[in-house]
Amino acid sequence: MKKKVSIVREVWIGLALVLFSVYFLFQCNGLNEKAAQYPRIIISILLILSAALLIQGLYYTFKPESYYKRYGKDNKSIEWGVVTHPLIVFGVTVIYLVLFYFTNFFIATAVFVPLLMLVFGERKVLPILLTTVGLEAFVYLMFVKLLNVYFPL
Amino acid sequence: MIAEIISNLFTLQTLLALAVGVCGGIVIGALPGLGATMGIAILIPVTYSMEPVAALVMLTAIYTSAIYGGSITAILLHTPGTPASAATAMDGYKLTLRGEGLRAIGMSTVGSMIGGTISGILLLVIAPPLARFSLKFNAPEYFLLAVFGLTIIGTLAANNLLKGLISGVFGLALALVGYDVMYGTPRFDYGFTALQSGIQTVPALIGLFSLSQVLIQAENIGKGTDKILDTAELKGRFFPTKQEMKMLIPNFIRSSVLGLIVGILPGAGGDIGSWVGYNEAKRFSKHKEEFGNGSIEGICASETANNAVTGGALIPLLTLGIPGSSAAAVLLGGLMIHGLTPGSALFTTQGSTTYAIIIGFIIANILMGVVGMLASKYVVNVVKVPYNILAPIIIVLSVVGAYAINISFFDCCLMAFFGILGYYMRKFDFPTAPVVLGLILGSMAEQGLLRSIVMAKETNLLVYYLSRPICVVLILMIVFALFAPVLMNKLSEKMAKPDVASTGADANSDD
Repeated sequence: MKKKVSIVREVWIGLALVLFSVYFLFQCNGLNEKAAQYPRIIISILLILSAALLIQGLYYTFKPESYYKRYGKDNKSIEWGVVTHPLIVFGVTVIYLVLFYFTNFFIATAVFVPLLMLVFGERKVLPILLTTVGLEAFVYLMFVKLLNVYFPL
Repeated sequence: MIAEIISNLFTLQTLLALAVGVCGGIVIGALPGLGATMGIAILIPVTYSMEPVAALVMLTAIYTSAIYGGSITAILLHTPGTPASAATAMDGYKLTLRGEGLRAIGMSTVGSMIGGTISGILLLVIAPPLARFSLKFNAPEYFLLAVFGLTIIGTLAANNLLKGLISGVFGLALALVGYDVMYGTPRFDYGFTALQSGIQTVPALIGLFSLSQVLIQAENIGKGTDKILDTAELKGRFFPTKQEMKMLIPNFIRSSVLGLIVGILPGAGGDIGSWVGYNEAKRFSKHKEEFGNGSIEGICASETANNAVTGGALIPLLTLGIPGSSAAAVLLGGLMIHGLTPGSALFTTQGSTTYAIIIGFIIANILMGVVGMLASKYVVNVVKVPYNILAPIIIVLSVVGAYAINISFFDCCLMAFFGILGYYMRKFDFPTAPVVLGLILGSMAEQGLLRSIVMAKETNLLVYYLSRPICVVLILMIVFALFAPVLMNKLSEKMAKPDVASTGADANSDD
């Protein structure tokens, strides 16, 4: 029976970085020749290191025991369940920024804080209310009044 | 100059900043998952309109106090607030279980205060001559210095050498965005006006260190809360006895010097410092068997050394612009925002500001000890503040901080981008500190290299570099830096350093 080969994550990361580097190396062609000199050096180094990571990943794919010895068995892949909550939190943060752009900072914060606290499992109204009001008041006093930061209304 | 230093230091704003930095730092450090790096990153925006002395005194106070704060929860809950307190957790928690938690905190307070203060005094002595030496540096040396900084922080901060180096070069690549420093040509801005002046450092570092930390903590949603200790159970004496203090004098001195040396090495932070101090204390101890089973000498060594690292890390930062730790890399951003460029000018034309900051740092360490003596046993209660409340506070302050620097919504988006990037980098074992350093040192490296090419004229660039003695030393140091991880691994194996996770510390922390 054929042994199943499971590709380690370094292969995908290395590949993505190689493609990223190649794309930006091509982008350098659109620059003034002198201005492109330094970016070409930096991106070429990134390309070489990324290719090395890809090769290292391929080596670990075919020699998984070396990989386990170095990083442990848990490190080979990231389970979807682990990143679900962080992605939800990031999604809520993006919604916050969209609201900030289309309304204003204080309205967006009044929606975001309770929403994020609910995501984190807070169900009591009082802590949600106190945190929202307290944070809005702190930002207003500290940044608007004391540091003169302008927030468009 | 002395009168100027005093007038800079003893203003109401600076004294308030000092108190806020010390108290805030202890609380941030005590909260597991939050550390000095994140604390500094999130509070840099608060310093925008402050005087440079007040701002930098507050940031350095947060740095040293957060390292100390981490020891309180390490001792009482076996949950180090920062990895720098992982060694303390082993012996401190054993003492807490024996009903001697207060004694352990007392030792940690005294050790941290002594280690931090000695490192501050040595910073005051060592930094000025080193800064004068930096006058001998020209474009080729500055280029190699940037490469050395990135190489050593990249190699020491990562488990995988390749990943550390990729992080550093990725930071340099990010620094390419915007007008180039030599010819004024716009690069990779894709029509975004906000990108023409380059990627702003502060939104990037807030995203990489603060937002990404919230995302890391979000993985624990629904997993229940940590154990809480009833502080009423803490009884007994706090201060070490006269006899103990006398016995521990060599330990204090040795650990302070070792911590300072580790701090000077770029990239080696408080965690390595505390283990080195701990290991040497064990080697010299007459009670080796107590180490790991509740040794007061062990706590003394690790806490003295990890706070001594802070002063050490400031030496290469202030003199050469090369940070000695992740937190110092973020501090470099703080220095630049306030118009303070590392190098000899900091100790000559801007001497009154710099010396005031260093003396402020020394006072912060003493004040940290005083606050610790008065309040440390109550600080453990901050662990009761749930992440349900902390997470929105951190994200809102991150958004405000990113926005406030240029009153730019684009910077908030940049911060969010770096937040998710930082999260995945940490998940995939790529260190984030080299990215920030690459971003900061990018223009120095570019100018250094391109000017070297001009200076070399017809000479081969490599031959030109090898004809300059300081360049040869720097090249040797870069080569050494590439092999440093192998040496550090050997050192760790020799010290049988336990896995950070096994001590309860946050393995993803950058402190």
